[in-house]
Amino acid sequence: MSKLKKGEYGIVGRPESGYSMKVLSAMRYKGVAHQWMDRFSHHRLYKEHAKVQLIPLVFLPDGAAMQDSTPLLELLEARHPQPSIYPEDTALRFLSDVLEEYGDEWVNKLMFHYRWGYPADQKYRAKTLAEGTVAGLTTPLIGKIGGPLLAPLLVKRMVPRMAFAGANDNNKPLLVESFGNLVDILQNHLQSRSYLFGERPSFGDFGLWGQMHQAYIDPSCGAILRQRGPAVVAWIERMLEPEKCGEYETLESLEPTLAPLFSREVGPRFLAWDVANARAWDAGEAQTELEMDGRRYYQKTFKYPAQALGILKAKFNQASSDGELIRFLASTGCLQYLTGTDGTGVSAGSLKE
Amino acid sequence: MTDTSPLQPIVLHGSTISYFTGKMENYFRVRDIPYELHSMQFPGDRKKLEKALGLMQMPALQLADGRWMTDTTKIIQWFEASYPQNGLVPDDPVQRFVCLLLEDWADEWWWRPAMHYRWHYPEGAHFASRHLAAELMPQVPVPGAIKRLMLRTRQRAGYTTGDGITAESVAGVETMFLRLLGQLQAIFSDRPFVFGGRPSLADIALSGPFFRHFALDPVPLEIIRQRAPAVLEWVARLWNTRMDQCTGEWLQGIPGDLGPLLDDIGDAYLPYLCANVDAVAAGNSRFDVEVGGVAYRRARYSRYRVWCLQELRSHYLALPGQAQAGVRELLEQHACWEPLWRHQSLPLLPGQEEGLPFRGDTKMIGVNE
Repeated sequence: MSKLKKGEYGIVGRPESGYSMKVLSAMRYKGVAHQWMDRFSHHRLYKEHAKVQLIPLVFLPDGAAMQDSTPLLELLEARHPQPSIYPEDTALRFLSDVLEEYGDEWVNKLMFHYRWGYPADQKYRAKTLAEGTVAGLTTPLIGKIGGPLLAPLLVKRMVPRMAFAGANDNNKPLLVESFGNLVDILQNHLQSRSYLFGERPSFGDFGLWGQMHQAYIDPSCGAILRQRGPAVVAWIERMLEPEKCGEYETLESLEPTLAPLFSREVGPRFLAWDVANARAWDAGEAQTELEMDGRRYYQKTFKYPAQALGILKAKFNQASSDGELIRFLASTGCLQYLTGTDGTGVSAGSLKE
Repeated sequence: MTDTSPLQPIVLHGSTISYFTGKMENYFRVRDIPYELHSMQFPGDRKKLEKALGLMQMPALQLADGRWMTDTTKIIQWFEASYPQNGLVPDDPVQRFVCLLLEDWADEWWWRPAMHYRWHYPEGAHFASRHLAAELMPQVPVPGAIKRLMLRTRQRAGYTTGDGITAESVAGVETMFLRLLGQLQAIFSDRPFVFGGRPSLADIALSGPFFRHFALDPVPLEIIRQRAPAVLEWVARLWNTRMDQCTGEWLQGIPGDLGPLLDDIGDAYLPYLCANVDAVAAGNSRFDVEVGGVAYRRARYSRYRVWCLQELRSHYLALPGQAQAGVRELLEQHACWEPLWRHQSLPLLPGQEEGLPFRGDTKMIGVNE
């Protein structure tokens, strides 16, 4: 801790970690004094403070450590409210919360699938990680020598992990389709605006960007993005040093191109899985299975997203008096996952004989 | 070109003279999505489709990864949400609603007159039965004349005389068609597509009845040639337009000449849907109804069309507040509002059509039974 200057935040992370980069980008946007500390160069510090083997590990100016990027961004917002990353409009604020979670929990799978599922990506990412690891623990020169020895071991370690989290052979076509749809939908949406909700970044931008930036710096996803999503690439680059260049738009002006993101991706994929995962967790089932878009999807059941869904639902309950939000969620087929009732927007009574 | 490479080859199983296959083809052409049309084979494909989709209906779409899809309306929504660039649904929510209303109307209300013109007149029935017997039933080991008779009998019993059309109502059904031609002749003399210089979902919808039926079957085709050449021009124009290359724009608002179409929807289609709701609620498989000045006797009930009404309501409720007000005013002007909401509750089955476009278990209940 002695390395941290007084009053500064410290981010112990890696450039290959979407959650680390998300925190870094948010701190840059808020103009918060911070220091980036490489995970491997600060190995001892990390071992001492990390409660779970995940990055980032963030030190607050008072020395306290945090590891979950979502509450961390909320804490940053509370302590450094300007410029805010929360739209004032209740509906947009909640949709931004959903996209933050969607990025963390679903787009992460898409990125991971490509990163560890294709030889070129595996090789490239294992090399940078291995070199970083060895160099961090020793010296850059030894890193260059030792990296190639470690790289195949990293691949061996990551591939089964990835399968647990959903990136298995059965799910592959679904994940490929999901990423392609996401790029096309974002391309259409970001052609005419700088950020997801207008001319200033939101909570949702940071969450989604964390994973999309990772996708962008990997070979396969990067190629798809450059080919099909030039406006998405521009947004990814912009979010490295985000700036407020105007105001948030209204839901009405966002809706034509934002609705497909929710009706095609967030609802039938992310929320459908999230709800099934939570149900499986409650039932003590080790595996989550569901039908998605005419395909069977399965993965290991996880506790963390089940908890995160609970938090998202609590946020929804606070926002649920907003008629426009309900209308938008119903029309995009998302409402049913948040309320557990029918999502057609017509009262349940009229649906039964 | 819309990059659908992970889905390719997309195989459209249908017929080269089928209403909804034709609608789907127009959609794929306009969106520049490659597809292969395969003629469905009877009775061989029945089991395969029932297993994959829960129903046997034309067309069925097969994706490269083995998934099957049904219901052109839901298939198009799925593709539009997946590939939103240069899409067919205007951003203006009022235009969007009108597109969806016209689509439902074109799908469900013009089906019966289209089938009537094909199967009522000997030259239509002769052409279509020969064509379908050769295209769809080449393997069936019975004489061609028997196949053609089977086809004529099945189609008439399912969709024309067996679905409400009587000798007395023929004139009314045909008057309705002539009126539609007059309305569309005015629209397409004024501009290339329903909403201006650019195709929309409304054009794709109307391609259903026109592309493979009215503008193909001998009797209605000659009527169109004589009375509505701009409509014939539109049929070909739509087939030859690609959204990615189209430089035309959608106009603002709802053009006044769509008013007469909405009047007919309020006068005939929506009241028919309400009568169908009554029949389904009462458990009647047949019902009589007089709408738009035409009396239909012993029309077939349809669970699917109850769901169609529900979909229209959902589309309305999905509109932003201000657009709801605009749409309501428009629907009230054309007597569409009251029948849209006449029934407080709709007799739907639990989870009805929720599996679309990948499962269609309940869709064909009542159809051609």
